[in-house]
Amino acid sequence: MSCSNLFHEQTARQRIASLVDPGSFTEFLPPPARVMSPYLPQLDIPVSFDDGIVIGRAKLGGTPLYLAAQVGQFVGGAVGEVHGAKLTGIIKASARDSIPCVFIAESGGVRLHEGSSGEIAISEAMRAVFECRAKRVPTIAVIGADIGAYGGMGILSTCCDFRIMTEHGRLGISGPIVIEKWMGKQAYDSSNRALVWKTSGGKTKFLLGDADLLADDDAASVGAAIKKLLSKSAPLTIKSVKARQQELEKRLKTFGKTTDPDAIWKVLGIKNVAEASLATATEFTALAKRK
Amino acid sequence: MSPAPKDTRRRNKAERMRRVGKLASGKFVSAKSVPEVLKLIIETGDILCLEGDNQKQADFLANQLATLTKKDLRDIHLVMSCLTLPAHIELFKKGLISQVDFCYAGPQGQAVAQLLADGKFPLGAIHTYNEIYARYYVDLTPRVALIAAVQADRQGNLYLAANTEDTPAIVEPTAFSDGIVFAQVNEIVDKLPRIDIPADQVDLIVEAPYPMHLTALFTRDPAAITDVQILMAMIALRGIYQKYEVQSLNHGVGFNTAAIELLLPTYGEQLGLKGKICKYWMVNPLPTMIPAIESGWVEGVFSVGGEVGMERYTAARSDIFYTGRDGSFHSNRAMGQLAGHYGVDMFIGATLQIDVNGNSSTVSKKRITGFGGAPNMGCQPMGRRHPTKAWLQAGAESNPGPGSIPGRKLVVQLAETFQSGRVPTFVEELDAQDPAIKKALHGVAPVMIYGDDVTHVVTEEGIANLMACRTIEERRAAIRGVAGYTPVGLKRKRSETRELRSRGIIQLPEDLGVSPSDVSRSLLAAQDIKGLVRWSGGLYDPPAQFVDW
Repeated sequence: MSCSNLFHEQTARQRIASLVDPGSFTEFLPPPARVMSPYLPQLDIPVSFDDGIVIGRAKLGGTPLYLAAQVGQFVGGAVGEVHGAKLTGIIKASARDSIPCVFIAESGGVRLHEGSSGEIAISEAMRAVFECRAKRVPTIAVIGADIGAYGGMGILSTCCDFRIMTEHGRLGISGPIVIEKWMGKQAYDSSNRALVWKTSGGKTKFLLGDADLLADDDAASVGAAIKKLLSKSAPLTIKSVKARQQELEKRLKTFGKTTDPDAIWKVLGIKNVAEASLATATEFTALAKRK
Repeated sequence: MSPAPKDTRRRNKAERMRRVGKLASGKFVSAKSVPEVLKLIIETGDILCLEGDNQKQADFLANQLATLTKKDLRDIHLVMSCLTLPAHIELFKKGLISQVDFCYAGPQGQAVAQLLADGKFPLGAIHTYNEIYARYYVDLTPRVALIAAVQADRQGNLYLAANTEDTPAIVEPTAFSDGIVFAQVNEIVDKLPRIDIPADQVDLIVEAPYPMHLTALFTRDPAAITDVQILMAMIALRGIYQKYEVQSLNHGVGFNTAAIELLLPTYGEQLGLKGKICKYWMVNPLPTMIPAIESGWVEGVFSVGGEVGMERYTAARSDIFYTGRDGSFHSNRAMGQLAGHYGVDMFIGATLQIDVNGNSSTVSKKRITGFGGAPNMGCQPMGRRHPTKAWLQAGAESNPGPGSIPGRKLVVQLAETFQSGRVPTFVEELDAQDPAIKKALHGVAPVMIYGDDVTHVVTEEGIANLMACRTIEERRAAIRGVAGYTPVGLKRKRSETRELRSRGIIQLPEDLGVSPSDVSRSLLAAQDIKGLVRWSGGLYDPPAQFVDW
C-alpha cells in the first residue's frame, strides 16, 4: 500500500515504475500468465506467479530498454529454472534487437532447491550477456537492494559492461554467512554489519573500480546513472581481459594482507573515512576522484 | 524485650569496616579481593541492594557475589530495580536469598517464572521504580549497596557520566543510615570531569577489570518501522496530540512512538503543529528524537538514563538536555519518574496485552517481567494541582463529579491489534490474571496500567476514548470497537460501535482525516540509522550493531 522513496526499500515493480518513463513499461510473462517453478510445489514450498522476477520493455528518457528486476522477497531473489529463463530471455532480446539491457539485481544466487537447473540458467544468462557485449549492446547491472548480488548473480553482474551501485547494495560471490562458516568468525564476522558493507558494499566497490557509478538510494539518482551509461559500452577483447587480470593481481598484492577495510579506503584516497561513510553519492564520487 | 534502638547500626558498620581492615587501602580494594570483602561486609539477614536497571549494571560486583556459597552468605534480603544478569539468577539457584523485592526482570523474565514455579523465588513484591526507591527510605533500607560508577578519583568521589540512573536513589538511603556503599568503577583517575556522588557517601571502591555493562536499550532503527506503525502514529497525532495540544509528555520506547517522533518534522509540520505540541519531554535521549530536535520542535528533555552513542550529540545540545558543568549529559531515574508523574500531560506507550476492560500487562505465563517505571507515569497523579490546557480539556471529557479532581492526565495505550506471530493484543482476560501468577504475587495480578487510568486506546483501527465512556459496558464496547479481528474485536456489536462513533468515543481514521493510502515510509524524517546520523551532523555515534557503513 505504501511507497517508500528509498530504492532499497522498494519492491521490484515499484523500482521499475519509479525508474522508467511513466506508462512506458510493458511486462512480459506477468503474474496472470502464471509461469511458475515446477519444482517448488514438489518440495511444499509456496510458488510465486512471476517466479520472483519482473521482465519487460520500457523507455528511459525516451530511450527504449529491456529491463529485469528480481523480487528479493521471494526465496531471496534466488535464480531457479523459470526465473533464470526469463532473465536469459530478456538479455537475449536485447542482443537480438540491439536495445540496451538493464537488470536490477536482488539475489543471493542460484535457487538451491532447483539444483543444477538454476546453475545452468545462470550460465545461459552469462552467455546472453556476452552475446550483447559482442554486438556492443550495453548491459548494465543495478545493485542497490537489501540482499545485494551474490553467488551466480554476483558473477553475472560482473560480466556486464557496467555496474551501478548504491551504498546499500552489496556485490560478491560468497555471502557473508558463507564466508564466516568456512573461514571462521575471527576471519570474518558476518554479524559485523560495518565490516560486511565495508568489504562488499557500494562505496567500497566503487572505490575499487568494481562499480562504475555510485548512485544515491533513490530512483531518480539510479535513473540518472543508467541514462549516463545507456549509449556506452565497454569493449570485451583479449586486451581488456588481460588488463583486468593485471588489475586484480595488483589489488591482491596491495591489499591481500589487509584486515582493516578502512585502511583500503585510505590507500584509495579517502582521508576522512567517517565523513566519507556519511557522504552522498555525488560527494563520495568527488572524494574518490581526489586520490 | 530488647532495648530501644540507639546507634547499633553505626557501631555495626564500624565493626564491618574494621573486619575489611588491610584488604582496603583507604577506600580502595583490589578486584581480586572482592569476594573476600563481600563476605566480610555482608551479614546474615542483611538487606542487600544490587545496582542494576534495564541499562546499567554493577555486573562485576554481581558476578563476584555469585561466586559465594551458602557458607559465606545466607538469608539475604535482596532489593533491586532489575533482575537482569545471569549472576542475579545464580544467587537464587544457590539458595542465598531469603526474600527479594524488585521492579523488573526483562531478559531474565523466563528464568524468574521458572524459579517461581520451582519454589526458589521468595518474592516479597514486584514494585514500580519510584515505589521501591520510596521503600529504600522506609522499610527496605539497604545495609549494603553494591553500585556502579564510571570513574572514581583518589578521594573516592564518583563520576556517573550519562547513566546516573538509580545510583543516587540507592546511595542516599544507604549512606545516611550507616549502610555500606561499595562501588565498582571503570577506572580510577586523578581528576573527575564532575562529581556526581561525593566521597563522603562512599565506603569502598574497586576498579573493575572490565567496564560496567551498558545496554543500548532505546535505539530503534527507523528502517524497521512498518506502514501500520506509521498509520497508528498519524491517527495518534491527529486524534490526541493535535486535539489536546499536548505540550509535555513521556514516550515509551517502542517502534510505535519512534514513528511519531519521526513524523513530527514531516506530517506534524504539514498539520501546522510545530510550537503547539511536544515541547517538553520526559524521555531518554532517543536517537529517533534527533530530527524533531534539529527541526526546532523540542524545548527540553529530561531523562531517567542515557543512551549509548548519544553522548556527543547531547553535549552539543545543552539547551535541550540536562548537562553537568563538564558539559556532558546527566540523567536521574527517580527524578525522571517524578517528572513523568507530576510534570507531564501525557504518557503514551505500547503494551503486549490489553483486556476488554482496558487493563494491560507484559506478563505471560512463561515470562514474569514485572513493572519498571511505566506505571509511575501511566497513571493519574492524584496529587497534581497545576492546570494546563490538555489536563483541563481531558478532565472536562471525563465528566468529573463534585468530589473529583478537575483535570486528567492523558494515558494512552498504542498497540497493534495483533503482536508478531498473529498473537492477539486484545484478550478477554490477561495472562497476568492467571491464578497461579496471582498467588505467587501474594494476590496482586501484575497489571502494568489499569483500565481506570487509561484515557485512550489507539490501534490501526482507530481511537477508543475510554475516559468519555460513562459505564463499564460502554468502555468494553469502545475497546471492542478498535480491537479489529482479535477475538475481543469480533464480539463487537455494530449498533454499539455506531452509537459510540456518533458520540466521538470511537474515532476511525477517516473521522480524523487520516487515509491509509497516505501512509508512506517516506513520511519518516529519517528512514534508517544513517539518516539519524546525518540529521545529527555526525554527532550521533550509533552502537556497532546498528552501523552498516
